[in-house]
Amino acid sequence: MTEKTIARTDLTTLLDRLAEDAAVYIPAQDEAGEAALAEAPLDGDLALDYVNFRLSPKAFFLPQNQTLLCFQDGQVREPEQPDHRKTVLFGVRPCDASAMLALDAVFLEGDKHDPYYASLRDKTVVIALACTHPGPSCFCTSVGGGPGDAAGADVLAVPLENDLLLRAQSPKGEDLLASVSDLLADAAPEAVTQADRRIADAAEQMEAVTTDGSAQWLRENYDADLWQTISQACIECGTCSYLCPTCHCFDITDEIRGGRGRRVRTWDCCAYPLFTLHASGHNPRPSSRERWRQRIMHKFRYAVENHDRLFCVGCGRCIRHCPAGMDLRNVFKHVGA
Amino acid sequence: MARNPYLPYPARIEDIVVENDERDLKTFRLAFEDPDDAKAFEYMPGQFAELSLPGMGEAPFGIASAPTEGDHLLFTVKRMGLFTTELHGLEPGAPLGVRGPMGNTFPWDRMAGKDIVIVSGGFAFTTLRSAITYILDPANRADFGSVLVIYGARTPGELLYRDELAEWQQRDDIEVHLTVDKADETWTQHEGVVTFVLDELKPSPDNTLALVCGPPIMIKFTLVSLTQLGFHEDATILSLEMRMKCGIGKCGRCNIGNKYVCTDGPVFTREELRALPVEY
Amino acid sequence: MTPSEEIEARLRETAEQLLRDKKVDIFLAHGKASLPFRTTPLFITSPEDAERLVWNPFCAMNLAVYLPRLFVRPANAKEAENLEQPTIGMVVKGCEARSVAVLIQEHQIPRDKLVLVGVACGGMADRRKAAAALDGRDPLSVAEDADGNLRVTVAGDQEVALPREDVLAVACTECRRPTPELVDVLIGDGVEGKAADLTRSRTEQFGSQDLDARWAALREALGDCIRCNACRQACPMCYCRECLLDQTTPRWIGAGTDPSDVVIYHLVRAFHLAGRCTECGACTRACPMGIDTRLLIRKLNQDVEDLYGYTPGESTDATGPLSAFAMSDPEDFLTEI
Repeated sequence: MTEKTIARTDLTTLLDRLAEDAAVYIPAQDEAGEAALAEAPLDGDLALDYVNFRLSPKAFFLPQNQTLLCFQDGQVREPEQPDHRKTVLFGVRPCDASAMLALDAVFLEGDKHDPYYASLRDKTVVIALACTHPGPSCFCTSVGGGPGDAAGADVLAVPLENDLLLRAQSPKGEDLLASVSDLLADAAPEAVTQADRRIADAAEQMEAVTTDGSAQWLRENYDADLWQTISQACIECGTCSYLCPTCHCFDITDEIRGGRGRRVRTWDCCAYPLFTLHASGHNPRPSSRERWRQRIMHKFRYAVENHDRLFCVGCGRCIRHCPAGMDLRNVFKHVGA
Repeated sequence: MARNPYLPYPARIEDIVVENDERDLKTFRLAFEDPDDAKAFEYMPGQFAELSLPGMGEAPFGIASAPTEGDHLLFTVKRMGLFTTELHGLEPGAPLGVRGPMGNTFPWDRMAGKDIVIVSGGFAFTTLRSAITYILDPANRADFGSVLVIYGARTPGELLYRDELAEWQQRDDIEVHLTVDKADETWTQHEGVVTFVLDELKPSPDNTLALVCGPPIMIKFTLVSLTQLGFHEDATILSLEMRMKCGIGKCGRCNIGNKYVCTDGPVFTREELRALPVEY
Repeated sequence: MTPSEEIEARLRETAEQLLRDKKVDIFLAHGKASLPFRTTPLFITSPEDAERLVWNPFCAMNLAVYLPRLFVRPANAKEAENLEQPTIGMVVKGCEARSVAVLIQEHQIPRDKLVLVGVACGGMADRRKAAAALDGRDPLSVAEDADGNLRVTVAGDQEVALPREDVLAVACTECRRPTPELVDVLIGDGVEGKAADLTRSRTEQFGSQDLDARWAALREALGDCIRCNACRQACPMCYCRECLLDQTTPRWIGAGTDPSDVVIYHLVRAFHLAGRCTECGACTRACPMGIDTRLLIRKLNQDVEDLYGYTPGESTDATGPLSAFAMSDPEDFLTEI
């Protein structure tokens, strides 16, 4: 596992080099002043003190709308493969990087490999950036992650005082570091120690939430009164799912005009009332109580039962953006109680 | 490289049979455009497929034909919504797409050597036609014990596959009891819900598996009868329906608890369902 | 005591009394959320819980959005006769009281089953404006001083003073009627609203541009829309069981982020809210992408006011101008054929 360092001031040179044959996305600010991954010009120093991006990087692998099939004059065809050019994402937080493994479990495993997701995943290289200052809604350490735990990323970058430690975590990561080896120095032991210490410090800053035993507790409490009260505030707006790095539910619809059109998949949300509505009018999840429960069950119980991992990485976006101030950590106050 | 699971096999409608007097149930016989696709489409009774019409989307339907019947596929479809209305408006020769086979099958390994009781109502009978046809095929018949079928509909005109039902009733390797909620002047068979017939016939649960498919209310009362007759929960097999989109366990829509009806189902034993939340 | 604390104390007393006297079955109010700059709705059913109710500059949510679901909708006239509806008490700001009035006017909720406790509102803080004012530093806690200004604690135990006007939500900066009318109880001294000219000026500025510029501005403003429907779900006026824009027979728009679909979604919503929107800003607040979804609706509301002299929510008896026809209705915008 290659470990190198690079001076912070040389970071843009490295990214410039990568941009020669890849689309490079870096931390930038969107129009509302919030942090976002964008294909921004590489001038000046990168600000690395954001907590996290508004949107999760899942849009790079599972876009909000994605053409599955093209229709033309009675022919049904796969879409032309879009741009095969490599994509490099720099600055993905460890929580979001580990979320990619959750999406991999859904889209790549099993006997129906999703070719659309797979091709986007293959052509993308992810350089995660470890956290040194988590935000008040971050709780990665409570869901099996950590501010330096970027399983799913190809390279982990850890900001040090003047440098960045770069650690390859996959063959793609090794290749990337090798391709810019002239810009890098071998990581000195002090650098590694500093990195570990910063990550540990960041972990200490987060308030812990008990999620141990949550799958079992959720099994036993499927019919608890809790679900009625805890879901009352939900206005079923979809913000949580759309911003969540592991939420993957989608809809498939056809759009057609004349003889031309497409079959497209779009983000969907289990909190929407129409999500499970049958053509007969029957709805197995008729109210926000059942729908909110489904959300929690999916992430903290069914995902554990099916994939042996939580489908929540503690990024806190749902808590920060919920218009009704809901906080799914409140469910866990009851676990172990 | 594996085939794109979202890409339907091109097929066309060869024949359409109107099944009921109300004319809202039709059986479509489909042929694959490419014989290689027909070979790749290996299925067993119990499974379903998504039929695809460009611009209209897709919908899942149980496969009514048996693999012993050749390369064509049969689907019996009730006209209920957007997609099914469009499908009902098509003529033989019209193209459409087939994606599948999807889901799990009836538990053929467990069914071998056993007596089979089939209880069904309404237009849920489709995959059971597939199962019965498969069992009755000369190559397979000896693998199973006795077969008892109890099938009901609201009126005689609503029964599916009436010609085949009549043929089966002539055979001595299968016992078929038909019943209707409301008889007409020509009806000479049972009158009443399927559970009345089941309670009358009292099939033994010994070495027997029961396949149950029908509307929720029929299933509810049938399960009560089967329990009273001594059928174990893992000897009672059900097939569920859910709103579906991708059909391959990725879009997250059709789950009951941690099971996806499209991949872990649609066939479940009663024992498996008892472990799941009542969310269907 | 700060003004908010005084109001909070009186609100708690009022809610407790109403519940103790069984005058209401549920009291709908705001409670403390887990992050600063937010509250979460409370559905209080016992008098002891009234002390969880809060009042502060973060009680921004429009609680009227919950009302249709708290009442039982009869399937037919016969059912309506014997229906037992709960009595709901709730705290309302100016905009909320108007939303309630429109819901009553449109026969969605029964007036005689509501106890409305109005609070004269000094304007609510917008967490995004606050974030911008804090230069991206995450607020750890926030308190109000005697003048209604905010003191925010950020990391490193630093305190930052934020004048309330600097962080008022846009909807509040334009609010003409912050003191709720048509209520059963009013707490707090009347607050003066903003001048009508101020409210007009933004829409007039938008309207004064030429058509191409307006179209470009609209498309740019909506460019970040991810079609999550949060704006619609947060709006108390959007109570349709099945939204036109979700319909499949026929399918009016696609579900993705195609620019034409995005624009039609917002245009249709704006037209369906013309003359009904009470300008609470819940839509903009709910939008995870920070889009000013209210802009176009505000313009159409202004048009209804100018053309028909009608402002929504001022009376529960009025018939909305777009639901009725009067011989005196202006016609000069109709073309001659």
